Amino acid sequence: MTRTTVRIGGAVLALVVATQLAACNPGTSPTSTPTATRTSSTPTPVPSPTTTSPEDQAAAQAEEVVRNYYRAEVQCLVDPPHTPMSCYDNVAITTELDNLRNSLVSAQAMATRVSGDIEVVSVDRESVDMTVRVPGQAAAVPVVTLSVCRDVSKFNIVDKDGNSIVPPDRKPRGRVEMHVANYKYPDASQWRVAFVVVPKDPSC
Amino acid sequence: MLRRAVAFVTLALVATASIVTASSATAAGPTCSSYGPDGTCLVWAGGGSDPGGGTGPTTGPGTGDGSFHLIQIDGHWCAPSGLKNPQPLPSEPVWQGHTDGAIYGCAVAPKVGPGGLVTADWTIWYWAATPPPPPPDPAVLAQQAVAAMPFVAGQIGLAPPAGGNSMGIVGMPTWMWISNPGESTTGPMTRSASAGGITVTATAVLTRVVWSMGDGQKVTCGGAKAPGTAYAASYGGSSSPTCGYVYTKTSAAQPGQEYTLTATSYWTVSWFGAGASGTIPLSFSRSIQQKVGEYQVIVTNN
Repeated sequence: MTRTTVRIGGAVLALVVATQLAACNPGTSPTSTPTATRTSSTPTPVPSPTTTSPEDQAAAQAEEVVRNYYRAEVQCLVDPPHTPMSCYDNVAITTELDNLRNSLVSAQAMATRVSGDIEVVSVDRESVDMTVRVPGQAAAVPVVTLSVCRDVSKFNIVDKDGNSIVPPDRKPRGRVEMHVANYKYPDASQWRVAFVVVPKDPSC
Repeated sequence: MLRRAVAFVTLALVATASIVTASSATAAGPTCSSYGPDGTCLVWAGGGSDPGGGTGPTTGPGTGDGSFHLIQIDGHWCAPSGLKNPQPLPSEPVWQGHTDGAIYGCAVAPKVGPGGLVTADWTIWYWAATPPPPPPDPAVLAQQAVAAMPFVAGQIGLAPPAGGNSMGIVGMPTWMWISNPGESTTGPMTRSASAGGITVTATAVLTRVVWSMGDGQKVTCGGAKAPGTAYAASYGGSSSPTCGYVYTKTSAAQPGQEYTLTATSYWTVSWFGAGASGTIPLSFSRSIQQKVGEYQVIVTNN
């Protein structure tokens, strides 16, 4: 389980994030910065929330789904033969959902399992666009782009004989750009990771 | 028209490199050919399920058993699975900068599992300006296969025979059979129809022949007994072992003093292909006139 503390851009986010993390990260303390949304391992005090802009709400909800995404990435591959393909339905959509399903099918075919966890080290808000038009969608789709640093050093993948098959060039820590969308906005439960991009410089 | 596909947009910046054809698969078992950022395997290969190789989108000849309509995208043979819904975000690399067209799915190494469920090794997403041509409807191909079957309603064999000075006798066995047995009349019959890289195979089996005897009674001869047994003099006055009847009243009260005897052959055509299957019922009838009389016992004083 990831243990982080939170420093939130916009004090209004503090309550939302504190609530969403409370279930899995007891003891975390919401904080604030004047500009970017960010979570880090540095606890900072935060003023009491007043109002929350739609953009800040979106960012907070997107961050929550990112954390759930990494939990699902691990949990859905712990026992692939007994994991339904719907395992990722609450964390991803469109191409990313198929990518995750592909990984489950691969694990089932190759008889691999995973252990450990993926630690979300930090989450930085890069942009929030509440007006994205997607073909076939009647309403605008809000999209939050987050720069996520995650630590995979404790995330292991083993074959049926227990031998690790982690690619030897995998870095223990790296940054990815996650695009989180809500196709059913304003339903706050419908934020999903739509796609993930590895930046040219993934170090963090 | 299809354009070059981007299969895994999560690795967009290295997408081209991450799409590795399955030709490197070994016979030893499935191996991973593309990894996600966290080290999980996204694309596996093995068992020869994906032929791999080649470049650019083309229409394929179908899978080995001809059951799927395949196209080739970036070297992978796959079955188009239609428009993706919802469509991905416009900023996704899979759009390749296009603002027209749409994103479609394509299933690599599709298979038909228990219950007809179609599964695939993995799914490719690709951009196309226009929808890919729909694969042929297997049900339509099945109808084409059926149309190629030369069904003929079987000739009616009767003993005692119909017509002339012959007539059936009340209380005596009547034998009924198809007198010209063969592929067209008693089956089985198999035909195939192909289009767009898929093949549907249909097999017709005569399941039963229902005889309407003309006196209000029906006799059903089913399964292996459906064609009946041709009568021969050596059988004497015995009953048919497969399909027979005994009249209980004469046809004297019928128009022309004859019964109209109708044999209806019921067929079941079973078809499969392109991941689908089904059955088509067919029936063919033929009628003849049959006089049925009775023996009179005349007592004389001689």
